[in-house]
Amino acid sequence: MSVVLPGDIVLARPNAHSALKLGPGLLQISSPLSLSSGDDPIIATRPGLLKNIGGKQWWVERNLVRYTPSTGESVVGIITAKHSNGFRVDIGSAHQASLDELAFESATKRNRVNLKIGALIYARVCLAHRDMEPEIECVDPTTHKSDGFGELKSGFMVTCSLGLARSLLSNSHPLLRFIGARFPFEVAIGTNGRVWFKASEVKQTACLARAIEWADGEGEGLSEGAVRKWIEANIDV
Amino acid sequence: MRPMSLQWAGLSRADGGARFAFGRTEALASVSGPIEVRLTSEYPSRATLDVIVRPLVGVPGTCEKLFGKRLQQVFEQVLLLNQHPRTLVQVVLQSLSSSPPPGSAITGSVAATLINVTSLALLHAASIPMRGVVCAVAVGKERITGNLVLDPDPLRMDQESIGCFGFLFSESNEPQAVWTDWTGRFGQEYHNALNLSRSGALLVVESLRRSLQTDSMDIS
Repeated sequence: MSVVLPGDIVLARPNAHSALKLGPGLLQISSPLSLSSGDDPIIATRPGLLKNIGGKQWWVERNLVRYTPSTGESVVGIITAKHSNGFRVDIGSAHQASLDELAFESATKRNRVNLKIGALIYARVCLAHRDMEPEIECVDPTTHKSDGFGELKSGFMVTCSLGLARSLLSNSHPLLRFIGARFPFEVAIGTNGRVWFKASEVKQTACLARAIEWADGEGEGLSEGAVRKWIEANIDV
Repeated sequence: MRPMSLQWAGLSRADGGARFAFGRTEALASVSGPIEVRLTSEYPSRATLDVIVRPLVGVPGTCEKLFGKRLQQVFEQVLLLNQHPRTLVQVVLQSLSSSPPPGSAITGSVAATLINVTSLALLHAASIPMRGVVCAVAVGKERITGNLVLDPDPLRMDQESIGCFGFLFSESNEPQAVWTDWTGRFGQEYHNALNLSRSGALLVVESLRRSLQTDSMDIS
């Protein structure tokens, strides 16, 4: 693992590797020194840790705050406007996403979904392209089932960094697992750095909000034991 | 060169922020972006870069506007703005050291500090891809001997600032001068100053790299 700065050459001769896959933070640029276009070096375009899987898939890992949509990701959005055949949704990216009124389970032209402005929804990004506004949906297009997506009623939403949201989504992060052993709650984690949860008591909701705030700041990257210790010291529900 | 200090500032409402200082010449920067852009300043094929420079006291005047415009033009070449079309990248710079008298241009170590803090904040946000890192350092002259010095102290009477040079550092190219302020003589003196400032700017990049490596909290 190494730290790279923008402009650092990651792979000088990509032709020597077969079937490279470049993830976020890497770019192949033309260089006057290279003989053919396939020989152009690959540089880092953002600072962070250079990681790879098997020398084939490369990316630069970095914790961000600003979300850029990417197809297939689950996001928590806020309805900002209604129009004739859908909604405008704030998902934290540069452009507002559009949500079709038929992109819900069992929604038809007759049976419309009624969402108020300010309502929270959990949705999947189904179209993400830098030249087009993102589109999101609350239904699986193959099965026409909601699959857990839809309006998030009551509950509470907090924001966190994109890195924490991603690690909370993976089962390896101990925070929600340990708190879940104390009291039951519902949670929806958006990769856009928004976490919604619903617990039965206000005290529990406050504990969850505080735990996420802690995990994003001083508790970042701590071991399972340290997380357990913090929960024991700070959560008495 | 005066001691440098760099800090990845935790500005809670911005996407990235940093603080940089050469001795007591200090500046703070915040970066937000890519965010929604006003229709009048939207470009269909690239992001709009907006640089706002604020003095320590008062409102931005003509000099601050001019400096912001120059910074914008330099960083438009450094940032890969075509990756986020129809968006806005906003950089706000706040000078934290006593400003030059109103109406006088931003030069010397104040300019170098502002250039460096812009780079740092953009690195901290990391949401806009960059070609390389821009670092700058001021060059001055000793009034009595006429020797060139790196990073002249504006508070010292025996040194005067005669220029500021900024370089784009990336491994695929030689360090390129992307920012030149020069009030001295052209010829040999200019070349010496350019070489001196290149070595100085390299020190800034190295300390930046060290700070990123040790500060594992910012990268996870």
